Amino acid sequence: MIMRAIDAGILICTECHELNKQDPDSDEQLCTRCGALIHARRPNSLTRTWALLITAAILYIPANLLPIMTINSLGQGDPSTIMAGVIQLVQHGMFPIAAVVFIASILVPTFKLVGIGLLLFSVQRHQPLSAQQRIVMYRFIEFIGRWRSRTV
Amino acid sequence: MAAITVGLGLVCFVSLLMVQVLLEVVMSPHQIWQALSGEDDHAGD
Repeated sequence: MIMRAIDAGILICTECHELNKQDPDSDEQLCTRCGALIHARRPNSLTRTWALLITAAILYIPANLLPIMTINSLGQGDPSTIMAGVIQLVQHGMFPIAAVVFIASILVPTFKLVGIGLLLFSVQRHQPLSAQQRIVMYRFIEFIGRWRSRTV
Repeated sequence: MAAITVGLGLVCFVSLLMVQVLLEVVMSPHQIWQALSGEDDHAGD
């Protein structure tokens, strides 16, 4: 049986990481070191995560379908989407750059939306995953996270 | 001279990235792993 901090009546402050003894009589407890409000669990964490995930999914569609920018040179120029930019890079023989743009701008946001969505769905439905499934999903999300900074 | 016009797609793409960053900040991985492992039945509430 794993001993958890919440079972031992210990709360961690998310601001300064101080361990605080839980006060059972208090609804709103403050950190003894920095005075920040502390909770056993982040309030409405899953609801907020769902809201942001849905927002991201909605933004994903115009981000990929609408033109990113238009470059007008000598009176000529067409609006270009992310995918059109990748295709242009491939046509100019710049395969490594095309691959980086494609992975960082299209694949990573897609996998992230799907991965976090699957996790949240699994949590919401109270479907515990096996240890093997958990570690595969955890490593997958961690791996994707490393690619976020490449987007810039 | 070339003139560059920023499209609405770029605005949506930057917003998407910012929402995904905020998503990782708001999401509590500890709470999610606890719920997934079945250690805490109320972690998904």
